[in-house]
Amino acid sequence: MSNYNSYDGNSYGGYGGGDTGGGYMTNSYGGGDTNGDVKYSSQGGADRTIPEGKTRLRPVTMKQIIDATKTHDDAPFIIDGVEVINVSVVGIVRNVTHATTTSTYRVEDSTGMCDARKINRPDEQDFDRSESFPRVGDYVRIIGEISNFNDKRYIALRHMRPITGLDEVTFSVLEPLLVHLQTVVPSSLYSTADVAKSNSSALFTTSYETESLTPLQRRIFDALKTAEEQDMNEGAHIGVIADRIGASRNSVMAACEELTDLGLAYTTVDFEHFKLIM
Amino acid sequence: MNADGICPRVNAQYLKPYTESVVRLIGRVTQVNGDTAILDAAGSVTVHSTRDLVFTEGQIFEITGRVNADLSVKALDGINHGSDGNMDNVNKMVELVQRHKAFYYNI
Repeated sequence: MSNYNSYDGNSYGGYGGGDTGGGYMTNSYGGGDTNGDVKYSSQGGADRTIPEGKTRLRPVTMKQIIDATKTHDDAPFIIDGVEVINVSVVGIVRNVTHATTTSTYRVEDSTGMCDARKINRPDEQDFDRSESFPRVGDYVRIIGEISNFNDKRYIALRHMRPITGLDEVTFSVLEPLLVHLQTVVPSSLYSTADVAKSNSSALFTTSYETESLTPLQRRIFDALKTAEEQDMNEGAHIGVIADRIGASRNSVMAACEELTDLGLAYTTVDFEHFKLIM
Repeated sequence: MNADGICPRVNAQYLKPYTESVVRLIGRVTQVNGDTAILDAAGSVTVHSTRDLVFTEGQIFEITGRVNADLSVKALDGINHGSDGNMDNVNKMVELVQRHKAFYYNI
């Protein structure tokens, strides 16, 4: 596919280019000329269509960087079923290696360790030209591109800055979780509107509830998520759900009402048809 | 810390399952006794210092250390975050990390 080739050319070309400030924003992977959408299986269970060409800077953990997958060598990395090129990650510098042409910073964020590598250009003023930063033990935010080199995962480093203050550490731990949840669970649960109108504890209460479902609620939730009725206006009838998961109609009815109370499902044409909020 | 860099974030409430493991702990120093300090991290945790780690009362430290059988922590490394910072948010964060363990840690 020609797009993948253009991805290689643009991203690495941009990296070596002069405009380091906006380099990662100008990546035109995917462009507007794709001939369709690509289907990826998301961690949320259901297949979902992700439009190509959505280039964004995603906050991630080191574990997500290490676990990111590729469908083939030239394809972009996939996290939670979504293409990811540029990442932002916060961690502690554990090792620094300066060579003539590259500087390598080994950074750890408690979820994993990964090298961030920068190509040194003698003619350029760079973020790491000062003696005092970055050093081993510094808390840093890294912005770069997930890459592989000799089958080893690393971050092609574009920018690094010090983290100052505990509150940014706290925030940076939770930021990747929020984006992960926004990506893999129904968008309505973690929309920006929710963030705006609720404090952080209330925001995550919903996720506690999806994680603390009773086994029966969980089975219904999973069954509905992949059910073909989910695509129809009237949703699934409780009798159908009961047959499908092999539980009694009354218990399914009760569990569906509980899912509704939790804000995960809603009734449609009558009180016996349910649909998940997606 | 292990070579893979995994050290789960905990506070006093979550130490027990991590006995003999390396963890990450953020707490405010409430008391210093020689090379041992007591940190408040949603409860009291005794931290045994390293040689180059100097605890100061009132300051918030982020400790990477091994959990002993008596639930004290032997520090391997520490970062001083100063005295400003919201510990309530830190403990809320630790609670969320623990609730979403599978997202954060391969363990």
